[in-house]
Amino acid sequence: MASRNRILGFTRRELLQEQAAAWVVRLENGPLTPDEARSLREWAGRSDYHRRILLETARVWDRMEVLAGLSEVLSLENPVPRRAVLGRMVLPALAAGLAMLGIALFMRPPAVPGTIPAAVTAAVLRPAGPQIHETRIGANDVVQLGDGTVINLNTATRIQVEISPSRRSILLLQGEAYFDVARDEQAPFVVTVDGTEISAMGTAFSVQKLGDSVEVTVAEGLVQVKRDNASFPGDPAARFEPVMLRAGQVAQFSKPGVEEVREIEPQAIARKLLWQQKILAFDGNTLQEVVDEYSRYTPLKIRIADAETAAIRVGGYFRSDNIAGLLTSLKQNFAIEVRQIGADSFELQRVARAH
Amino acid sequence: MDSGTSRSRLEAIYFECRAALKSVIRRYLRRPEDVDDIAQEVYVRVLEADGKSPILDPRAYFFVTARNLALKHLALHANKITGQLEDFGLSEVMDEKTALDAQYEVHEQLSIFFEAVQALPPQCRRVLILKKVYGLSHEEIAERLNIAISTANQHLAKGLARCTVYLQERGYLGGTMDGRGGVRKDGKS
Repeated sequence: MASRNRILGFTRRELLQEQAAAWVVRLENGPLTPDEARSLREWAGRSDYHRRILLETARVWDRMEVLAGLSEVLSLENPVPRRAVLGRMVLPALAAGLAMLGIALFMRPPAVPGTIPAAVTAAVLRPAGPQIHETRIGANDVVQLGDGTVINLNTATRIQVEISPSRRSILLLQGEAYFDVARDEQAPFVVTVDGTEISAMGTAFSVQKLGDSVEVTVAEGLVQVKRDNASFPGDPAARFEPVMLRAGQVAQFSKPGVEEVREIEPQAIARKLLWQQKILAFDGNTLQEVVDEYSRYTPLKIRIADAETAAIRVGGYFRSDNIAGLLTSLKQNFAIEVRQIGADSFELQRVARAH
Repeated sequence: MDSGTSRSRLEAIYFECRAALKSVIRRYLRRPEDVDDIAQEVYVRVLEADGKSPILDPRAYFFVTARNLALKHLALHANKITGQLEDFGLSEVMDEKTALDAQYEVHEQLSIFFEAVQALPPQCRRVLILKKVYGLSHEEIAERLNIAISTANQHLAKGLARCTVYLQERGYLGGTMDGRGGVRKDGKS
C-alpha cells in the first residue's frame, strides 16, 4: 500500500483514502490470497473510519460503472459506423418542463477518430527549428512533445513550437490550446500570445486567443503571466507587473493589461476543458451563447431570429462535432424551428407548439 | 388534445426497432436476460408515458428510454466490489444509502462522475476512462497505453482515490466521512 515515507505531508484522510483505493483496485483484480485477505481484515479492523472509507470508496468504484454510458460519446477509436437510426438519437433530461437538456449524448459516430489517448497522434519532436501545428475548424489534435509535454489543440488553432535545451517556446497564433507540461527546471516552458507570456513549471493550463485579449485557465499548479515589453514599444500603458495564477483561476489579459482574475469551481474548470473530448458543456447558458460557442467549431452560420429565442436557457453536454445533433435536440426539446436561409446558413426560431 | 399515439402504432414501431434497442442495451448490460428484461420494460414505460401526454417521436423515445433504463439498471446493480466486501463481513456500516443514490437520477450521476474524472491528471484519466467507460481489463489497458500493469493499477487507485475525494468534498456522498480534509467548511456542495 502507500509507502511509509509519504506519510509526511499527507492528511490522515488522504492516506487512508489512497490505501482504501488500492484495496478496491486489488479486489477488482481477482480473489485475494489468504495472506492478503488477512491483511485486508486487519486494515479494515483498525477503526470504523477505515471501514467507512473503504466501503465508500468501493461504492464509488461500483457506481462508476454508469460511466459506460459515455461509451457512445467518447469513441475508443473510429468505430464501425453505426446504424443511421442512431444518428438521430438524443438523451434528453428526464426533468421535462425545465428548459434544460440535462445530459444530451449524441450518438452520431464521430467523424474524427478517437478523442482519447489511443488516438494521440504523437508528433515526434525534431530538435531543429520551429514547427507549426494546426487544426481545421471543428477539428481537435494532440501534439506530444519529446519531453513528455502534451498539447491539445482545439478547433481552428495554430501554434508554433520551438524547443531548445534551455527553453521551450510556444507561440499561440490562433485559437485555443491546453498544455500539460512536463517538469523541466532547465528549460522554462513559455506560451506567448500577442506579446503576453505565460510561463509554467510542471503544470496544466489552457490558453485561448480571443479577439484582442487572451484567456488563461489554470487546471493544475502555477503559471506566471507577464508582458514582453518589447512587443509594446512606446506603449507603457500596455505593460503590467507579472501576475501569478494558480489552479482554479481564470484570467483575461487585453491590450491595456490585466482585465480580470477570478476563481472558478473545479467543476467549472473541468467543464471549460471538456473541448478536449470534443464535448461542449453548457450550464444554463443562453441559446445565443451556445450558438456563439458552436460557431467556433463549424463553418456553418447560425442566426437566431429574435431576442426571445436567443434568451432560451440551455444546459447539458453536446458533441462539438455534431451540430446536427444540437439542432435536432433544440427542435425536439424547445420547439425551435431550423430554417435554411442560405447555402451554409441557418436561422433558429422558437415556434408555438403544434400539440 | 389528442389522447396519445394509438397503441397499435406504438406496438408496430416497437417491434420494428426492438433488435436495434437490444443492441443499445447490450452496450451497457452483458447478461442476455437483463437485456430482454430492459427491452420489455421499455415498451411498458413508453405505453405509460404515452397515456399521460402524446409522444411526438416514439422511435426516439424508445431509444432514450432504453438507454435510461439500462443505465439505471447498471447503477442499481453495480456492486461487484461492495458485494465482495460484504462477503468479508464488512457490511455493518453499509445500510445507509449514499446521497448519490438517494438524490440524483442516474444521468446526473453520470455527469457528476464525468466531472470527477475530468478533474484527474491526464494519464490517470485515460486509464480510468479505459476501465470504466470501455470496460477494458487491466492487461488491455496496460498494453494499449504501453505501461506496466502495476502502473495501470496505481493510476486506477490514484484516480479512484481522487474521484472519491472530489465527490466527498462536494457533498455527493453525504456527510458520513467528515474527518480531516472531508466536507468543505464553506457550505458549498
